[in-house]
Amino acid sequence: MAAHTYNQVGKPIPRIDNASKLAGQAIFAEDLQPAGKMLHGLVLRSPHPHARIRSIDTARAEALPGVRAIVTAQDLPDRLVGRYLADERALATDTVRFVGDRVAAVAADTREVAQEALGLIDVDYEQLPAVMDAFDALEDIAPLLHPRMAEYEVVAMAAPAGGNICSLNELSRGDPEKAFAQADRVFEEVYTTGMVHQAYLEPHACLGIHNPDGSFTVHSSTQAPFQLRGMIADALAVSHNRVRLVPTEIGGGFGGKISMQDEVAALALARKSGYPVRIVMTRREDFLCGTPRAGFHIAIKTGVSNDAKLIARTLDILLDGGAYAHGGVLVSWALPNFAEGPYNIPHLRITARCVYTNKPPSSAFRAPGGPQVNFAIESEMERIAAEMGWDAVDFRRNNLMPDGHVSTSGATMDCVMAPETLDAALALSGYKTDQTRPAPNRGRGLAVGNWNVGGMASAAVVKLNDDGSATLLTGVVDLTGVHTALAQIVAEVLDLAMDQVTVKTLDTESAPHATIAAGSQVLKSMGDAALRATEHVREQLFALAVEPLDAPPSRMELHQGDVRVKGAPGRSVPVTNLLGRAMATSGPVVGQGATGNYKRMPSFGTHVADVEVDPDTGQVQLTGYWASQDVGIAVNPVAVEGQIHGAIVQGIGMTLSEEMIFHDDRLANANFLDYKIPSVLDVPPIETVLVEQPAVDGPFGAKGIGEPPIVPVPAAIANAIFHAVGVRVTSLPITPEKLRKAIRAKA
Amino acid sequence: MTYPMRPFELHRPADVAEAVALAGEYPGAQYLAGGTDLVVNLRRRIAEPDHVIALGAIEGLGEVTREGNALAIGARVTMAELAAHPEVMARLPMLAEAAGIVAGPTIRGMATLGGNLVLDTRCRYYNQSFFWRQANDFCLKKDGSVCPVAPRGSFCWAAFSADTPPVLLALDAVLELTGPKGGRKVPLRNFYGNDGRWSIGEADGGLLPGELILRVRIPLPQAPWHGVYEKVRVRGSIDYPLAGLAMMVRWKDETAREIAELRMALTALNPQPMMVPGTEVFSGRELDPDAVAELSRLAGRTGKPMRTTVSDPAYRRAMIATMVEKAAARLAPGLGPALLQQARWA
Repeated sequence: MAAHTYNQVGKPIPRIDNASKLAGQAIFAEDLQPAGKMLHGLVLRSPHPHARIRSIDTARAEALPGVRAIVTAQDLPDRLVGRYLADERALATDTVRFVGDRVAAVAADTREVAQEALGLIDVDYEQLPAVMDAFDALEDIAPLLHPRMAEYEVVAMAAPAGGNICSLNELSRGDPEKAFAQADRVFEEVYTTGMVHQAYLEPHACLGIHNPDGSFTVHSSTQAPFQLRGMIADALAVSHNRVRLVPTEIGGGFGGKISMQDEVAALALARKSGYPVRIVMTRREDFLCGTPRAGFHIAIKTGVSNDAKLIARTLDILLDGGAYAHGGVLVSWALPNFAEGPYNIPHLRITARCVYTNKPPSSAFRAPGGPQVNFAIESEMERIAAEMGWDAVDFRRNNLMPDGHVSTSGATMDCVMAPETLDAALALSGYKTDQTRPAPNRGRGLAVGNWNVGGMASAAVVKLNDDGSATLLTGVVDLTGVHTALAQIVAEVLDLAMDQVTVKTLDTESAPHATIAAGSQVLKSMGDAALRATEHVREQLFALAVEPLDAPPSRMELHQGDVRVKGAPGRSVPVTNLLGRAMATSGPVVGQGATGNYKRMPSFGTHVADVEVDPDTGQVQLTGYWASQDVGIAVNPVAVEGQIHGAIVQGIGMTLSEEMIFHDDRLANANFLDYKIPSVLDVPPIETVLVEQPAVDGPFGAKGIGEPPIVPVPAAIANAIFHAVGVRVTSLPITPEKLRKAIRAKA
Repeated sequence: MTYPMRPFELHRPADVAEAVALAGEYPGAQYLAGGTDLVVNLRRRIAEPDHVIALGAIEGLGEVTREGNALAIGARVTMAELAAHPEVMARLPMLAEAAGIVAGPTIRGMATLGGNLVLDTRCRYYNQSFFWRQANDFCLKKDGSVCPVAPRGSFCWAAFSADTPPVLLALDAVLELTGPKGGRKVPLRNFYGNDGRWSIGEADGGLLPGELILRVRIPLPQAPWHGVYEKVRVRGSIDYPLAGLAMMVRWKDETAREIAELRMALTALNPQPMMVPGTEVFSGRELDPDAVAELSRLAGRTGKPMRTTVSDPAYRRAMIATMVEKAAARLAPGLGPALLQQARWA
């Protein structure tokens, strides 16, 4: 553990938003109630996975008393939009591509009237063949979701490759085929994972307002205010300054609140009706139309030498991208950067294909792609070690990437902490490498995870108030408690108490550009911007103090409301005096700071899981869980620990019970009874250890932590199950029926 | 998007007489107790009553009382209360066990015994939103004409999935009912019918229109009985049973595991909870691994899981034997290791 000499950084400070949330005062999008009349909007969604719209007749719905406006694609500019590939419309024109695709929207005096009106909109659909499986979508005879894909504009990262492949990405080094031929043993296996939903507590919600000057204001529960504003403006064919996006408090996102949802529909309804329109999704709608984690199909081939070295690997990954190119494209693009795992493999090829299917568009979900690929990699490490008669921990240690490792994409990996987290997890859990089974049907498993966090640009402003207290103005939302960490950074630099710092999230009109609250990057991106803005403030204070203290700024420090000369405590001047001087001379003290796009930082973690399997029912009970995580420096250890716990619980869900099940071409479990997230009673005691080694360029040495702890969870549990009962289920989730079947097949 | 609940009038009668009078006045009205089943169905428009009669203001339905050699349990006693009631725990531990693993803690705090007895049957084609069911052309149980589980039949396979009824069947409970046409007592074993559309109300002893369960009367056994409830579900913390089994045994000679009488009842496998017939022949036999195997086969002939859940029916069928083994191992001293030796996995 690094020794901290800070006043605020490194302290387990309670979240600054606790009080408002516990008191029920935090305003979420569903709580918004503008002055004056507001209408309730609802969206008519396709009941078919794939269909052509022959006609839409809204006459009966319009005649219903209380209906104020109905919009269809006719009410919007003829625009295709997308963050990566412009393949989607805010409202469908002629084709719907998944159950839930937006067709029309209604605004009415009450939600009940709007609900009734939806039933009165007559849509004539011609059903088309649907493709619900990524593999089937590759077939020559598969229905094409986007026959005009070649004409779509590539906005970023997408590499369309014909057919239903909306992105194809490949990176390699060395010559894997030649190396396989020279390997002592070659192992091949296929792993699959299910489509899983982020299951945030608060479904998507927004409020759209058409302003008297013709501009738009939209309040939305979003992780990505600036990016969403851009999408909305594109769809409405207006310049970005004509759309003011006001982010609301956010009741969980986990990557699922980055895409555009019903915002444009709400704004079109507001424009047509003349009233603000609020659209709140039901839980079922959110399951149908959210942007879940892609299901993966991973073919992994590994060549090893007899001295327990990984010498070659290929990974052929198929992602189920769903109906439109959302974050699935980003995942496909990023995969080659992290799919090499925590290991150094000289001959490597990683191929990722993101494929359209008639399912909800898949996108980001806490380390998108990470736990899926790690499930394959770390299951294979364990399997190969067992078959070769090697100690699985030694085998890993023998191949972990060194500090300064150059990744397949050519990036140099700094602050590689893989061995340190492995050692820490072994010590924490008392993991024995001899691995005798503690009791029949009980087992213990381990996995080492890697992830790359970062790296988008942000700017921030810090203003000093008359009494020397400070306000940080930012355009990033608080998804994880990170605003508390930002306040700690400001308080640290200015030597203020926590209650002397306020963090204010502003809308896109007032705030300087901010990164998205995703990718484990807010602490680094906005944290650096806040740090620089605060240093800018400090610089101004020191300049103001040169005359009264008769000392150069380099000899000054801030101490509890005073600027003083280092080593001479008697020579000080109150900050309030300096602010008075500022008003008379240079003006109010405002600091600004920014950080550009930056290199992603590797982050590591090792997890150990204990399970007890009931071989008769196939049920798995987790009996213990230990996690070590590489965090750079924990700016707020209690918040970091909370992120680790939350990630593990989500990982347990995708490993054992969560999956979006499609039967008869439609989602069969769009509710929390049948979509089975773990309840608190399903979660074992979790022990964590933070491996602290300051990161080279993080604020105070911090690394992002939101995503990395979910990465090793599925493999750690799968390896524990293997240890307990000697069978390996290669598809997630490992349901009781799959595991029982595997056990019986072996017996 | 959602479709609105069908509008209904809510009544809050002050006593039982007023409640049944309302039920008599408004045919098709539905009673509301804990609401954990009905409210979900209302919101999905699979229940569409014009009148809902809330029982919350009625006193006297929430007690557990000793009446001679029987325990009378008020229909509005919650699952949480039942699971923690000292006399239930002492005299009928398997009922407390079953009540204590219904759903999760918050639902157990609301769900009532009466509601559990008349839980609506469940199916993956039925327990869906109006939007979903409409897109799927509905089903035989509600708004449609074909059962997607068995499209060529004219039978509804929706599974009865409550946890306490198999226990109460095994205990030979009697229901005290009242309705617009007066009160009566019905053995629970005559209460259920075997079509998922009307498993409540079809049988000779089934619920008549407007009838209300007041109390459940359970004879307290004279000789000591031992009983357990086994439940298989995906999450141990919550979830309906994929399969459930109540088993109770009275020993002729406990140390020799010699059976005087053994009863089994199943839930979540058929459109009604079912006693497993034919266990009388085990009287006088030792509950040994062979007997367990025979009991498993017997139970397997009664339980008929269909494609009503997203879990594979083959898995639920296999769980019948597993539950019989687990229950027997818990009931018969020393049987566990003997069964383990025979088990498919050691």
